[in-house]
Amino acid sequence: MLSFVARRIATGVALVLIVTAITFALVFASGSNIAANILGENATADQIAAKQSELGLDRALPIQYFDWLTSALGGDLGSSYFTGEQVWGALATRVPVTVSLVVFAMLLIVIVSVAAGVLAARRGGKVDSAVQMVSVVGFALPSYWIALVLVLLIAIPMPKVFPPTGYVPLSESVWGWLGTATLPALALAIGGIGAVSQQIRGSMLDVLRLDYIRTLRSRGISPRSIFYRHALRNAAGPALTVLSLQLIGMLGGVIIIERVFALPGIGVLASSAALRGDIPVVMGTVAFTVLVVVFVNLLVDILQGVLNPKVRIDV
Amino acid sequence: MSIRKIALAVACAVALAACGAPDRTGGDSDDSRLTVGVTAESGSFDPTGLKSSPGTAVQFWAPVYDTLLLRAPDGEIVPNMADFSYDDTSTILTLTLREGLLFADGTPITGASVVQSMDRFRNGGGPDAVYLADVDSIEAPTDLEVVLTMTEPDPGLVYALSSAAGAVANPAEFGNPNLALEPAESGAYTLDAARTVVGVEYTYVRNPSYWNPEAWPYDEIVLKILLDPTARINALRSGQVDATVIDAQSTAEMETLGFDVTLQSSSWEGLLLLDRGGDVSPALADPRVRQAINMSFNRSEIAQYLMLDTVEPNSQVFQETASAYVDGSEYTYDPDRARALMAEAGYADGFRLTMPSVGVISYLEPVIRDSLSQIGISARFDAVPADQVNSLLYERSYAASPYRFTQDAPWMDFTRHVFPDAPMNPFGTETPELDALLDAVRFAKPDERDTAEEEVGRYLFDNAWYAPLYNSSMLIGHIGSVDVVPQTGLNILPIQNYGRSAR
Repeated sequence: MLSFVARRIATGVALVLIVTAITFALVFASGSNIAANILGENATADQIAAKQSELGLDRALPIQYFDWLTSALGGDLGSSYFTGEQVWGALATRVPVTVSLVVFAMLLIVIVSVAAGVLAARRGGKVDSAVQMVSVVGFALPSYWIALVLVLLIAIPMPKVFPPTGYVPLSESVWGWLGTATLPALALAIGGIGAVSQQIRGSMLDVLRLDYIRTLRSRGISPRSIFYRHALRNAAGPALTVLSLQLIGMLGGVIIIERVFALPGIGVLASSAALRGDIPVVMGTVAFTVLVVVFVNLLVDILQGVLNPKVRIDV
Repeated sequence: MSIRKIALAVACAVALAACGAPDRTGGDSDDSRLTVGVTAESGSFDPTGLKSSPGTAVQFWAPVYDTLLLRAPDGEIVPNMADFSYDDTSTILTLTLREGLLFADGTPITGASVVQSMDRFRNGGGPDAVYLADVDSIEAPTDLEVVLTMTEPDPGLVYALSSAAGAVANPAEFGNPNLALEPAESGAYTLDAARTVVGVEYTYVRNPSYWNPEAWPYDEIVLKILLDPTARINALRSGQVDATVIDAQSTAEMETLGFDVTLQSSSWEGLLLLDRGGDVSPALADPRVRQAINMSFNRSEIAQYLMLDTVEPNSQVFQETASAYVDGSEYTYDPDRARALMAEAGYADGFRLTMPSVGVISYLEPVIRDSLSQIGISARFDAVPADQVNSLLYERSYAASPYRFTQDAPWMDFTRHVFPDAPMNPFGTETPELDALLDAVRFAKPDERDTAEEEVGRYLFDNAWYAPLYNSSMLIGHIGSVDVVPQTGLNILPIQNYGRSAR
């Protein structure tokens, strides 16, 4: 297991290097645009050239990337070209917002999907059809549209309970956080619930047909125990994979939700920085996102081994 | 409990909550605090990095940095921290500070501290340092006087001193490595760091040392960055902000809900006809072609049907209240006359005109394409990244471009797009006649300047340097208890223009 983890970490590091290098090349390809964006539309050509030189944008790209990388490895991600804020500081402020939102959404997905998928598999018939239909609709609706509807139907009429914009940290107030995070998390989760519940339903039906389930029934094991203790565990593997893909997809999709609800998360930070060429912030958010993806994939692999000993990696 | 009963209970709860939706149009707001939803990111508080209009950055620094002069709502420059006067040659500007001015830390603001602040600003390489580039020296002969000396007159100087170039920062703070985030305050407010999250929300509390508290009626100002137009509307409707920028499509809805909408005239939108020498597009060298382009647009219909009557048709780049605006001069829609001009110029068969696609006004592209096609010009738009448009124009990659250009005082606009070395005159178009007109403005006596600026405006209009379509406004939606005073000559509404309504 340890060597497996070490290999995955090494792969993750290589992935971070490749993605950040490609990102760096893409955003730094035109140094003059960055300087012009910083200085604004009144800037003269001389000013732009001076700003380029000041920021080192006139150096060769590999040298610029190497400088950024060595600084980043030393813990210095630089400062925003526009606000002067340290990138680490910006991430420290924004990451908890997005993480809390994504975790909340994932919890909703897990709880509702398991309940819906198992219900559909157990009851079958009209219940199964209804769950499938709702899942498909939820999967098909874009999260942006869902967010707008939630704001219109719930937040606007009840702004003191569900403020349509803004964020209250969990550390400041649990109820305040719930008020500001519930609707965004719902908007994020509904599509995922559709996908994961379908996966759980299908996996459960497959598992329930297996011989060992019949054996368990013949031994008088309670249906509840058969479903939740035996069948679900074996059915969870594929769902876990879908869940991890949902989480990774959320890191991109959260941008839109954060904009609609004006949440100060990393998604809005990254998109704003990209639009105005705030390169240190862009690189910091990209590096963070890649690390999250690597970590999530590693975690899923380990959890798969926990759920199903057959797929465990031997030391 | 059955599912049906649960659903009924939820529906009743929602209905009751909806009935209790707050009335945000009137006086239930906290009168001592103003909360404004702003549209774009903040910038640095480092004085060298302060930006004036265009751009929203000024909203963030104006509460904490006082300026030597002030631009009144009617666009006139008036005294603020200092009174001002020119000598007879208009090359020596004397600023006389008010007595008793204090920085936020309680230390006196003197001539020497103003000189230190301005020297740091103009030598700092910031975006607005260019506005003090023509100043040869800045000296403080007394504690209350600052004298700026120039080789030749600079009519834009007093405008610059009403904005970033005139923002006075506390020299005692210049050694602070966090100056970008911790302003060296001299203004009506101080930044409350505990309730400020960079890039999200900025809270300003009243500075008890400030000399003119009556000019700023609120004890506290909160600026919330709301990038999404829908989020801004929702924040206004739900009472999270007292005022914010809304889009044209939401105007009717907000007025129906009881909110007020104030227009802040800010920009013109249309075509920049940059290549007046014909380097990239030979046809544009002929003024008749540029005039024909102007005549191909039906500005009143564009304003009515495309922009839903939220803009004012205009064939000049200056607002009607500006001194450079030429009364009675407009290009009427006349495609027949336009085609005749094209034929006279030798372009009866038209030509192809390639321009960049400018994302924020891409809605104009179909209108531009259709209008120009009437006179034989085939307009094509290249997809370019939004942050590269200006650079491509500076590099002369395009002969013309759709553009949204903020409007300032005429002289300031001349420095931005008329002078041969102006950033938005990339082909360096220059004629002896125009040079003479610009010199006439520069050396004009104060009572003659308006006339001189109008002559420049006439030249630009007659030679069709641009093809503006309309003046666009920023729409400010606000509650009734907040008074919003439109500002002439700036694209962004100063925070100081928000006040308490008498209602």
